[in-house]
Amino acid sequence: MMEVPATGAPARGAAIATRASATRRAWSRYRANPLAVVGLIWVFLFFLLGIIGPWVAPHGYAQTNYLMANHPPTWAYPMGTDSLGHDMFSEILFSIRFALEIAIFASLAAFTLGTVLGLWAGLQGGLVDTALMRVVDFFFAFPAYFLDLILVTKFGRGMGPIIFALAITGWAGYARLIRGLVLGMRDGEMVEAARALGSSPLHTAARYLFPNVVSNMLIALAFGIPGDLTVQAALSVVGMGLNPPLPSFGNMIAAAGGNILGYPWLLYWPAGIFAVTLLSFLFVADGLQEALNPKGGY
Amino acid sequence: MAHPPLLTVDALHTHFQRGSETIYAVNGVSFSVQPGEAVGVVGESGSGKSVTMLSLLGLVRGRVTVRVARAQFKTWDLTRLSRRQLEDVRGRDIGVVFQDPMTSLNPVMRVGDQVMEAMLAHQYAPPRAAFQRTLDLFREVGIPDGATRFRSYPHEFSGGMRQRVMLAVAIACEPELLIADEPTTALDVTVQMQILSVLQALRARRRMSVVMITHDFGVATNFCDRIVVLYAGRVVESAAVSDFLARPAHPYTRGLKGSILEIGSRGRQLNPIAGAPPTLTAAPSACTFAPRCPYALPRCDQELPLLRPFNPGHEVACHRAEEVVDHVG
Repeated sequence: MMEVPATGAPARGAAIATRASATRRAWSRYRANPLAVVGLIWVFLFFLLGIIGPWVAPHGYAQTNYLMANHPPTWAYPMGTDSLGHDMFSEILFSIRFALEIAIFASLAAFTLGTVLGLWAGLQGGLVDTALMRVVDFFFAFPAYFLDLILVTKFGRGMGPIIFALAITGWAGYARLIRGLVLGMRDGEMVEAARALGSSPLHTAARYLFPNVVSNMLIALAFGIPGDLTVQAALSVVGMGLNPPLPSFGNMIAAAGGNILGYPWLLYWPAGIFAVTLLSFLFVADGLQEALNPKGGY
Repeated sequence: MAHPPLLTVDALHTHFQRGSETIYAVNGVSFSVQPGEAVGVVGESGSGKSVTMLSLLGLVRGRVTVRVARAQFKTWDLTRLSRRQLEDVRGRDIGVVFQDPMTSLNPVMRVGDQVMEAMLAHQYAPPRAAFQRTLDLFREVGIPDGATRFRSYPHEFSGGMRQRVMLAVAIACEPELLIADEPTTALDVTVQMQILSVLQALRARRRMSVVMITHDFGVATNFCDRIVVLYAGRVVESAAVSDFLARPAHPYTRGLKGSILEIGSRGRQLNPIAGAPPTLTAAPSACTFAPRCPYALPRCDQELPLLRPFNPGHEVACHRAEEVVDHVG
């Protein structure tokens, strides 16, 4: 055991230091991964652009200028214009915002739903567990992208329906993950001790189980966000994404594909930014994985 | 005794279903605990010590059937309480300390919070009072500098210190009964003594009843007033410590005593009990100890010996107890 300090004041500092050093150790592990640091910088920038984008965009996302259609980059249109005369720079700024909103809300919704159901299944066991896990199996077996298409077709191509569709197809992974982690602890001594203290199942889940797996769940969430970004773009590629004139990376990339020789800037800017962003998110998730869960994969 | 017992258990059966097999873990255990009394429940691994106590608290999990003729704690019939009521009794009226403090504490919660948690969950005290009381409890169980240690996490504590935290958690709501399930088994010997003396002091100060589950005779006889010996899920002997030491009346108890090595007994022959405990896959219909018993008669293979009064305060489940107790061997 640690040396027990004789006086109160320095000891309090010491206790805080040990706590801080746990966070600092995680951060130093994260920092040791240069890709994760670069990724984090880009992700941060991406978020910043997503937040301030609508205010700094020189043009509205629906604003067209037919006289300037398919124009190469100029000072007024720094990334050129597309076939309808949309300013590509403004389009990208708005796309960042919409893509982030969709990916984050969809991931958080899937995370919440999956976490609650997975905790319930793992802790309850028996029939509840079996039934819920068969539903999870169904979602794993059924092509998620296809189900997304069906849901978007049914409910429309707005922000809300897309978030809903992504959440519906995304929760099963979180549920299966946390259920497995809970199974590992459910019959352990910590839970037995908690129950012996009179902890109700809900209380056990909230105060004992979830806090012990939160780092694994955050890592899963960090991988889930770029996943939802990709699917959201992929929906646009087949024309089932955000309804134009709402801009999206998938729309821009799909539309530019046909004109790649004539107007290459229409492809390079959105595709480049989107690719770098996805990579950055994955690097961040990878870095988090190493920092929070150094002993092994999730 | 003058007072009604604090805890009375009559004919407790706990059976586990494993595949197509039934494991008869506890087969009709009866005992009682008087207010302020310390009862030692001893027996080897698999004798049903822990399962007995966990069954009473509704803590056994899996495919299990618990049957009991009577399980009365204070004025409550434990079998009639709803899940919600039982949760309220656990931790508030009955405290539990488990064997391994390394794995029983929540690794991501500050130790002080874990003590407070017990009080807040049972509305035993408002937060401010619970905080003060946590510091008092830390002092009482021998955690120095409680205000600082309050903020520590379990991994910053040694095994002994963690067990002190577990004790503080278990007694936070001033339970009338403390169940200690092998509280010192995972600790090294010097720390065992410290924990036992803390436990002894806690008990003396509040006249709390303790059920001490252990396989360590030394711990049981030093700490307890009365010993209950379990074998294959049945009580084979129940006696005051003095009787238990001087006049063990069950062959199994005698066998256990003969297989203990004591300091200063150089040259003495150890007499281990021959054979192995039964497999518990069938309900007992005869004496479960008979196959290993040097005193066994044909009758022992046919007739289940019931727990019967032998001397005042001394009960035994053996057909030949009178002959066994006088046998010098």
